[in-house]
Amino acid sequence: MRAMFARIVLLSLAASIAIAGDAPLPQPPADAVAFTPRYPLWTDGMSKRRWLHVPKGASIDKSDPDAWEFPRGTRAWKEFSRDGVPVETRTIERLADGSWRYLTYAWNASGTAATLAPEDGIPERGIPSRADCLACHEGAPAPILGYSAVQLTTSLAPALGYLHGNCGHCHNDAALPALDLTLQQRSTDPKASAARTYASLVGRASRFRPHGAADAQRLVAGHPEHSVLVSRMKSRDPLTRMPPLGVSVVDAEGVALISRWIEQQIQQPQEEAP
Amino acid sequence: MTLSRKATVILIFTVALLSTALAHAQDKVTRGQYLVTTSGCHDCHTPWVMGPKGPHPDMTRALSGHPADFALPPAPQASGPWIVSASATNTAWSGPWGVSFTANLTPDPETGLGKWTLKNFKDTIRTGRHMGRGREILPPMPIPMYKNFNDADLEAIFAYLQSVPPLRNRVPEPLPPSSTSAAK
Repeated sequence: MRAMFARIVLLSLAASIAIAGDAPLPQPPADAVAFTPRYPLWTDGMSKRRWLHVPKGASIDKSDPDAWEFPRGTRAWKEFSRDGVPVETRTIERLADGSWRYLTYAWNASGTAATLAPEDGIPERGIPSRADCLACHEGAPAPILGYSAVQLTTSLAPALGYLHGNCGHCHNDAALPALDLTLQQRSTDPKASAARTYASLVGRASRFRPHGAADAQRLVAGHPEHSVLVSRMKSRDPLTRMPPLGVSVVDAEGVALISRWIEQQIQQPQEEAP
Repeated sequence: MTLSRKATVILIFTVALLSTALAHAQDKVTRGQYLVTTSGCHDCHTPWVMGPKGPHPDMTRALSGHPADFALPPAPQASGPWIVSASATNTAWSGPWGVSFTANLTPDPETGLGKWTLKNFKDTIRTGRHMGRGREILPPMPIPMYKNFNDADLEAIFAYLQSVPPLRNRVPEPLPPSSTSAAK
């Protein structure tokens, strides 16, 4: 009994050291599922690979199509590469108590091995802190953002898909109700969620106002150049740009997509979804 | 027990419960007021004015942040070890991070915390990000210390802030470090 207790203590200690120290990246198991979301997050032009693993015998509860419940032991990986060399891998794991653990692993320069990044991240390499992980992932109905009904099966207008994938995890009624700005789409009633997005954007006063501006609107129909939505996407100022973290390079294609949408498809306030 | 006696007992019980709940809520607000006034919130979030004995917080604008109508010229250039300067109101601060303007903490729905949830407030203090998700909260806000407030303290502070008179004051957005500032 005493030996067993000692063994448990030693194993726990070893696990703690592995988490706190230079723990190597646990690779996705052979039966992990590779997936690609339809509306990916812009991450400074890096290419990404993603995997999901659900424990054998367990399954995802999809009874709420827009808030999938992942079983304990679920783990997801996202590997970021630049010029074919992996630079960072992020993992999300659902623990036995139901909580989620977010870890980030930094690859060496040659992309041959990755070790656990410190809790505060590595700012000079753009690797986020654990608190930054929560800022995005805990604002959505389920923290594995790319593996959902909307991201895997729902056809949205490209601009709405872009806003969902890049903004909707924070800009939704549950995470930031004070803003009344909903860019999250729903698979159950995409027409209703699109209408909600239009209503919260078009012609609505913006809380954020550029310096010197007495007034500003989130989206001015037909005028991307006057829309705060676009100006904040285009901003290089870290205090102004959107998204506020995880991005340092403007997504020129994304800006063009949203600008065309505002210019060509939103001519009247609260117009019906195209 | 007659029906009227039963009704009386239920009434007394309900009143007692309500009184306890009210007292508890009032305790929380009082505790929040104590924390706000002893933790230096007024130092920066209430504009200062000059009086016969020097600058002091203008409590008619308590906790309403940097006054929107207070026009400021560009901040002086940092020089040597002097890297920070503050406006006369103590509500605008220039430093290596740019220029920060203290927030309106009153419950005004459009320009203050009126629409914020307790979670928004706690997330802000704990993460150092606006509403826990947006841009970073800038110096001199002492996030590294305040994030150590426990849940009960943050709940009390938020309860108090929601109880003060709402003051409409749209605080400007922060300014980035200028290309000639010491932040380069």
